Amino acid sequence: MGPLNLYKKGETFVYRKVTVIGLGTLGGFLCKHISEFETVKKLVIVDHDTVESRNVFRSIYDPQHIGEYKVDALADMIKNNVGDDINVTKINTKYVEGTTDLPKSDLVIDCRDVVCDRISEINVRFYISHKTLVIDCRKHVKNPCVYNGSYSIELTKNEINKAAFYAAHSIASGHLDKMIKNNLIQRIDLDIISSSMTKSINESIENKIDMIYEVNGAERLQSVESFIQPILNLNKTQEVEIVVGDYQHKELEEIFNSISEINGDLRTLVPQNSLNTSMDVMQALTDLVKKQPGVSNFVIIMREHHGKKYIELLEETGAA
Amino acid sequence: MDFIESRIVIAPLVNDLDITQKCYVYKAQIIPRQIIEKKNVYDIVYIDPMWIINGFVIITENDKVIRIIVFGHHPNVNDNLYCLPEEKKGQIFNKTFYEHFIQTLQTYYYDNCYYKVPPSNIKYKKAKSMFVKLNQD
Repeated sequence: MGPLNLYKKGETFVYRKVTVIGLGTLGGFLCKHISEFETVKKLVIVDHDTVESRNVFRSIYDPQHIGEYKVDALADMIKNNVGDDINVTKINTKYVEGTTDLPKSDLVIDCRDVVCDRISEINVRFYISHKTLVIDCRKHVKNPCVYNGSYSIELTKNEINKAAFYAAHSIASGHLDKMIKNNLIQRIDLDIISSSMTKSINESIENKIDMIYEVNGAERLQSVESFIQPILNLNKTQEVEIVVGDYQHKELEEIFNSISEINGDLRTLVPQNSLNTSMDVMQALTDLVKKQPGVSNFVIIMREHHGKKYIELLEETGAA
Repeated sequence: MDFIESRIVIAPLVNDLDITQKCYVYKAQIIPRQIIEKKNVYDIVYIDPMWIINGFVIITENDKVIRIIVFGHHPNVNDNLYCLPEEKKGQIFNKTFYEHFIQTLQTYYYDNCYYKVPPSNIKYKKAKSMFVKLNQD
């Protein structure tokens, strides 16, 4: 094995040829994800084992594959999935570092369910431990060779596939490249997305925010952060005023206080440094909107009046 | 700039309920500020003076807004009557309503309008804005 031969495209490293050792539950799903990368043109799969009936419940293999070598079964599945877009090389042997010859690759991944010494040939070991995906990019690791064979907790097929997806994502996003260069070991909670979604949905329900988007020819989700970040920055230096209506009509309040018994709540002043996240901003905005009669949808605009920046809420009406 | 309140009490109806009709006359100029079209906001940077609103009259029945007469040309006004969306009809007239309506008159809603201002009369530029849709419950 030579040094990593990475193809650099812009800022992201792209692996052209990837080797995966160990085609069990995690390795099988990972190979499927990697084979779907547009950039990976060659995949080397290494495993000496056959598919057993106990494998099919949580792995990528089907009952029809029972008895076949894992390399054969997986190569067929990849071919059926992506056709000839990727060249798959099968190595049907038990891998022992320093003894087994591997073709030169950009990335060598270890997905075996055994813990072995790792010298320098393997770039990363992926495994699952206590509902976390562990990405181990250390080299020269000494371990007694212990057979695990199964995960310490019961995981569903979906959870293992999710772990494989995160592993594939770490490769595609370039995170793995940084980790390899720094010999890092990292854990990723398998429930991280569902936890994040639960939090986000609960916040949305609480704030009654259905969706936030802009329309530019076609409706699409807008990057809330890009719009809200200037508001957060503004609040670091000054209190932020949020107004409904024209700032210049502020001086008319006295007139209307004399003719109306009910004073509306059309402005709010957010103290400096009290907005820390985008949800804080949305909370401040929706608090004011909820006080407005009959307002459902609105537009937020950053305004400036005599050098002072403020946020204007513009009501959307269905006027004809 | 002035605001005049007038009151007309209509004769009792058959159900013995009085309807008190009030007119709130707003006498001041309102200059259009922005356009909303397809949920984007455009700031008006120039508009021909003929599009300046010279005031409006809010007519209420038992303090609920029933119609608004606008003095001037506006894409959302037809025969001097502002096209009130359903959710605005029947609202109590107060300062909040007033402020909202000032903003409403300063805004052209081009998604649903009677006509658009001729390009020779207006210049506008897109403003950085974000549209938020709230749940309707």
